[in-house]
Parts: sequence; C-alpha cells; structure tokens
Amino acid sequence: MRSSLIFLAFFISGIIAGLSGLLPQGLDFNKFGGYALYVLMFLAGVSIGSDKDSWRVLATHNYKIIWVPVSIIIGTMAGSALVAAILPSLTVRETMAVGAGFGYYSLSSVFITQLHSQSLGVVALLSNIFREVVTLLATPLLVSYFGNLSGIASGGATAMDTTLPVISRYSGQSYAIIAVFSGIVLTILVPFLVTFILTV
Amino acid sequence: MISILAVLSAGILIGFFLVGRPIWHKRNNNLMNLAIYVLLFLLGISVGTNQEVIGNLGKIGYESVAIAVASIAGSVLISTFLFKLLFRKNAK
Repeated sequence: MRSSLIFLAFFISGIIAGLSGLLPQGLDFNKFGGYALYVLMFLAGVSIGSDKDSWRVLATHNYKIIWVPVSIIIGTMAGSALVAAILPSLTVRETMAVGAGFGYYSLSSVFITQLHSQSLGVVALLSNIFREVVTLLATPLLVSYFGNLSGIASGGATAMDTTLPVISRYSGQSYAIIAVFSGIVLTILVPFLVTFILTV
Repeated sequence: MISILAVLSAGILIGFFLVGRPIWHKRNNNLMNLAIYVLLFLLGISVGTNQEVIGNLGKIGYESVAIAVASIAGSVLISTFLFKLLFRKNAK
C-alpha cells in the first residue's frame, strides 16, 4: 500500500506541476514519457530474464496461459458495453472503444482521437489512466479476494510494465511471466481492437 | 510496438547473465520503481497542462471512472472463474 501511495503522490505532483504553469514552455513531455517507457521496458526485461522462477511458470501452465488475455478481453468488452446504459452521452460503440485501451492510455487515446473525436480521446486517456492507477492501488485487495489472476486482469495491457511490480509483489513472482505474456498480447491487440470497434 | 518488444527482449537476454546474482536483481527492481515514478510524474504533467481535460473535468472524469471500473470489474470477475478452473491446483 505504501508504494501505491508513493506512485499516486508522483502522479498528483505531476498534475500540480502542470497546472502551476511554471514548467518551461515548448518541452515535449510526451516524448520524455516515451523514452522513460523504453527504459522501463528494458528494466522489466532484465527483471524477467534474471529471475529463475518466472520461467518455471511457462512449463507449469503451458497452454492455459492463453486463456488469461482471452478472459480479460471478454470481461473488459462486456463491462464497458454494459456501462453505456448509465452514460447517456456515450454510445455502446464509444464506451467499448475506450475499454479496448486495456489501460494502454497513450496509444489508445491517440488512436481514438484520430479515428473518432478529441473528446472521446480525452475520455480514453483518463479512463485508461484510471485503470492503471486503480490497479496500482487495489491489487493487494483484489488478489486477496479474487485470486492471483485478478491483478493481471485489472491491469490489462499495463500488466507488462507499469503495474508489473505491484502484481509480482502481491500475486507472487511466478505470476510475473503470466502478467507479461497477457500484457504483451493485449498491448499488441489495442490498435487492432480499437480500430475494429470504431470502424465496423 | 516492434521496437518496444525489441527493447524488452534485449532486457530479458541481458537478464539471463544476471541469474544467480540477487543483488543485481534487487538493484534492477529499485531502478524500475524509479522509472515508474518518472512516468507517473510526466503523466500528471500532461493531464495538468491539457486545457480541454481540465475544463471538462467533471463530466469527463465521471465517464472515465465509470468505464474504467466496469472494465476492471468485468475482467476481474471472469479471471476469478478462470483462476478457480485452471490455475489454483497448480499454484504453489
């Protein structure tokens, strides 16, 4: 819980820094974020590679592992389709497109802004950030009530990077490789699924 | 996308050489936390500097939270069944 609060503190101080207007103009912070993400991916890779236990899981669970991202896709699409009923200004297609970001806010918000509208792009950005932040904060609780896969399910595409530390901490190191596998599958699918939902 | 996976694979390959050196594993995890702090701070900045977001924060925020919570609830529910069905027996 302590580390989740630290994550949140950094996020909130970022918002405050942005609102303060004291930041130097003309700097592309999204570009920095892109570089930082590459660094994070590299470090996540080293963490997986240097961990003996994580490779044992693939041998233990074998084909079963594919059902993890499949169940996350079904659950996310069902949940985001149903929630349109209580959101009068959004259609089922729109809420599903936002849900199909699976927490991958940078890519899905760009795609939705391009394919649909700026305003839905902003909803996609925030909603998928929330998915990530909620996962960081709630994974300890989710795992104790809903089992070791729940943090991975909640994290969606982010289970391969930003939420991986909290998942492997509370579900156990042996679930880290499942988290990365599921996160990679979902991350690859995000652009395809968002495009499919908005154009079909 | 391909470049991100390439970076991840490169990390995994280098990680192989660190197997059996727990100090480096720990150091690497600390660095990972640091990178997450930076990313979340930058994310906060892009939210804080986006006027369209800050202006409509009420409505956008409500819709965003609703979709996020529904997505998480749906996938956690199905993953619970999957866990009981396929994973629990093999869990350590």
